[in-house]
Amino acid sequence: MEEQPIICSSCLGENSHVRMKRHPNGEECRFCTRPFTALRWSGDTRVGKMKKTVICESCARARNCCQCCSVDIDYQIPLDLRDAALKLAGIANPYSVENTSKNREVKAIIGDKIEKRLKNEETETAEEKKEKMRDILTKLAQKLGSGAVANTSMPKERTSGGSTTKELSKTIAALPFGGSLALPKNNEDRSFFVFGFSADMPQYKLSEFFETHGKIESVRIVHKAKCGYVVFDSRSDADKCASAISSNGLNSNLATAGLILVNSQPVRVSWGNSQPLGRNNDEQAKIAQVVTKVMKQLAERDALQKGKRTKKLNGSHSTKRQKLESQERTDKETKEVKQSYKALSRDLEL
Amino acid sequence: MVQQIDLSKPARLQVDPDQIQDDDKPPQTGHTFNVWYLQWAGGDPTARDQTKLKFRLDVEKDSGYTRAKDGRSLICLFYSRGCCYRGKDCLYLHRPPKPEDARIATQDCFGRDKTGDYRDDMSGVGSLSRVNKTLYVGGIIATDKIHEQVSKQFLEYGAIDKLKVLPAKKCAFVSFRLEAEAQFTKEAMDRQSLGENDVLTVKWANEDMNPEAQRLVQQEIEAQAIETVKRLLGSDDSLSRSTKRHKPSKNASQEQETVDESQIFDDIPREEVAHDHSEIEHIPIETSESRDGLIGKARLKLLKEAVTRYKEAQKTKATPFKSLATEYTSD
Ligand SMILES: [Zn+2]
Ligand SMILES: [Zn+2]
Ligand SMILES: [Zn+2]
Repeated sequence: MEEQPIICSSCLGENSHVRMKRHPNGEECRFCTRPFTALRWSGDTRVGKMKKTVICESCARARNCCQCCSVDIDYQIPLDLRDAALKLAGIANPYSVENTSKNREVKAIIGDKIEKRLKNEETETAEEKKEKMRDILTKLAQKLGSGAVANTSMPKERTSGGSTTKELSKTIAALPFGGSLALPKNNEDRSFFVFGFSADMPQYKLSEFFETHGKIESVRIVHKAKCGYVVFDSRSDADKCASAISSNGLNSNLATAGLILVNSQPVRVSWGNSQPLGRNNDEQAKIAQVVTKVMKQLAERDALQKGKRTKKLNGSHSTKRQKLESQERTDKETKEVKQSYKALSRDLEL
Repeated sequence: MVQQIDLSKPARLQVDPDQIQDDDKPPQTGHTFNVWYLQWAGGDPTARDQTKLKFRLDVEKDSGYTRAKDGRSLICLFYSRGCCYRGKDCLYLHRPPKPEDARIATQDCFGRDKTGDYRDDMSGVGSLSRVNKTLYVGGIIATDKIHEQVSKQFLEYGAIDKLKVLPAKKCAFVSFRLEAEAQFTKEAMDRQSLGENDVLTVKWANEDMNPEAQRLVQQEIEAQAIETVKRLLGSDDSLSRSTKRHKPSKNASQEQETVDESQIFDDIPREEVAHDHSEIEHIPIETSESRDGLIGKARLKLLKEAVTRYKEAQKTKATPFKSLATEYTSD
């Protein structure tokens, strides 16, 4: 008897019977490159009206996917996600997308092998298949339950060697790490220095955040250097943004760069005009190191400030003198911060 | 960020059909004109890529409603290149891709079939072998503001995830939020220019072999996979979705009309349908019983419990803001 094609219900469409045309050797299988008997029909759901199979039957069977749209036939999820889930659950899958060979000839040979193996495996009944799938899902659920599926691979900070040139330390020294959200003297300034995000922060998330305060003229995010610039169209929007950030409840210390949370990551923002951010990977990696150090210092400083503030609240006598004192203190702190950056760039020079 | 696009207005004509000339040869880049491929043969093979196209998509002005149904239709390839002459009568969508669009993994957002492998020069529709959201942009002329320039012009067509400009190598790599956005931008920006004298070549980027980049890709896939499995385990509906029949559409007649007309633009050569060896057969679709859910009620309950346990474990793991600062100091 003729084998049933492996096609998911959304590709087949709504009708209870589908009229299909058969084209012997009509398509090249997208997985194994071998020609196979393609089927064409007119589906009417989802996107695309004319449907056809693009994956040969044995490849589809081995991967348990739709011959037309390549989703997993049982769960209707993309293959790469299913394979990633199986991998997380520790289930071996010889046919995963990852393991696919890049070489045309090897692909075809593997395709032949799969077909032979599947012919011998005819004995596997539907009941057995169900049992197998149940096992897989239970395994996966157990893993999920035990929390073993957390991202295991943590980044290793690459310590890139190579000497730092004078120019780079100049570049780093020019970066406004010591800046704050206090109004700058120059009325033309409408640019923010943004730093401290990690490599997986999408640029559009950052622009979305700033766009809530006004129109953006340009965005320049260099992930490798962990910093960048956001320039507003107008000064008034930039002002709005600055005051919104300083009053977002995360910033008690206004003398240093403001803290915001984007994509649940801490990011620092201060006024600052565009400066070069390193010309190559090595330079940018060096800048990133400095950014990491600065983030650490700023966090420590914030923690300190918080401690002081609670003490002050306990004392509960707010006089003008104290205000002045705190002003002095913050000024001093700013100086300290600035000095430490200079020290940092000197470090790198060595 | 992609600006909000006004789709309440009709899509405008991007090209006046009367202005199109039949003998519209591309600028001479070779010795002889091949009438079959509409290309110049001989000469420098890369010269073709260095001529700027006549049209360019202006998302704000060109977008609008067409006869296509949002969510069920594909995006107009001619629109993406700025030269659809059908305007509001087009049967394809005149707007950039959106995250909620239904997509088929074997096709791009214009409905063209992906191939098994990339072309040798990484041009073309793209490959089924991996999800690629990154474009290679060549032919950049380095200036001081090049990063801002690339960013500004590319984010008209999609939300940029990452942008890396290599001025010394005259190229840039742009990653998007969606694969469909990369597909769309590739068509929209290929052989266009950022400034005055440059012509961009936009192709698919090769896999980034940098271990850090690989880790990020892996992390993203894992997060999506966990999300997907949670969703599957979380709802009985999606488990049995493959067994459910969609409700028949109300306006079937209207649909039928669309099918016929869409063939004008369809990429599939029609003659193949009337293939000599073709035979017509009726294939009965499996009844819902034969593909019943793989999981019994009891088993499903067990899975759900596991997921809630997992979610709770995640919750406690998630760092509330208070500890964020200290977390950071631990580096
Ligand atoms: Zn195959
Ligand atoms: Zn399908
Ligand atoms: Zn169109």
